[in-house]
Amino acid sequence: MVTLEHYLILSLALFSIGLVGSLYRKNVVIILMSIEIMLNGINLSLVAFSRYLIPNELVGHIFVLFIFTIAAVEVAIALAILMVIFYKKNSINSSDLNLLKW
Amino acid sequence: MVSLVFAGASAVILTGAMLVITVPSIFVAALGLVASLSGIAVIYILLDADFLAAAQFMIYVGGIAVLILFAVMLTGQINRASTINRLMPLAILISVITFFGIAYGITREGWRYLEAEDVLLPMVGSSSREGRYLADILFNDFLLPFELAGILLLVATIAALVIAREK
Repeated sequence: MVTLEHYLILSLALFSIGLVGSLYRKNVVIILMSIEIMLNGINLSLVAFSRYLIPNELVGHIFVLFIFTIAAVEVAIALAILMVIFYKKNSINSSDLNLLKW
Repeated sequence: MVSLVFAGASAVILTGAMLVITVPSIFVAALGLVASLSGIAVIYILLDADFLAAAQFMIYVGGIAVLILFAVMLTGQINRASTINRLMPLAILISVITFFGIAYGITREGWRYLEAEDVLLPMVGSSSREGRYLADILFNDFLLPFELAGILLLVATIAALVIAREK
């Protein structure tokens, strides 16, 4: 018997894993992937809420569709910036990107 | 049956996500991300969101994961002694606090909802009707956000090309 709580705990676990990954990894690509994992956790909770609490209105699905769009845009721009950083500094470690560090 | 599929899919999802944040190799991490995103598509099917499951496969697994793999190949493997920064214990502490704090709230809240086995879905009985209803509200109630998302995609495409262009 799978209930709403199961889906919510799964989505929360995904969010927490993405959070710890984006906080402690140095590689910028891994940080981007962690952010994608966090977004997917949020999507999962939105669909679960929509399915269990208001099954006759698909508003949660609409939100998820827009998050898909934003995620695609975010990854495209971030990877373009990443390429430029890599060509300039020959590194994609966040600890090497310290130009603005005081 | 549903519980079995749910358990298997969540095992794949969580294993993939743990691979992403623990493995030093970026390529293995990208493969873990693909596994995790595919598992989420299975969960969407369990939640009667067939259209979203297809979109998840096409956009995330087919688009974003391939884009990330492409970036991994282009930037190459840079071997460093340490791939994690020195604030790792603090990061894990923050994440654990977040997890147990919200999990406490979720389990305490008395959700009133329809059970998954109940057939009480007049609008969304089958996948084809889900797609039709989704299109209906997307092009009526959410038309302006939809158009804005299209403009955003256009701007992002041009911006990505301009930023990544060889000088």
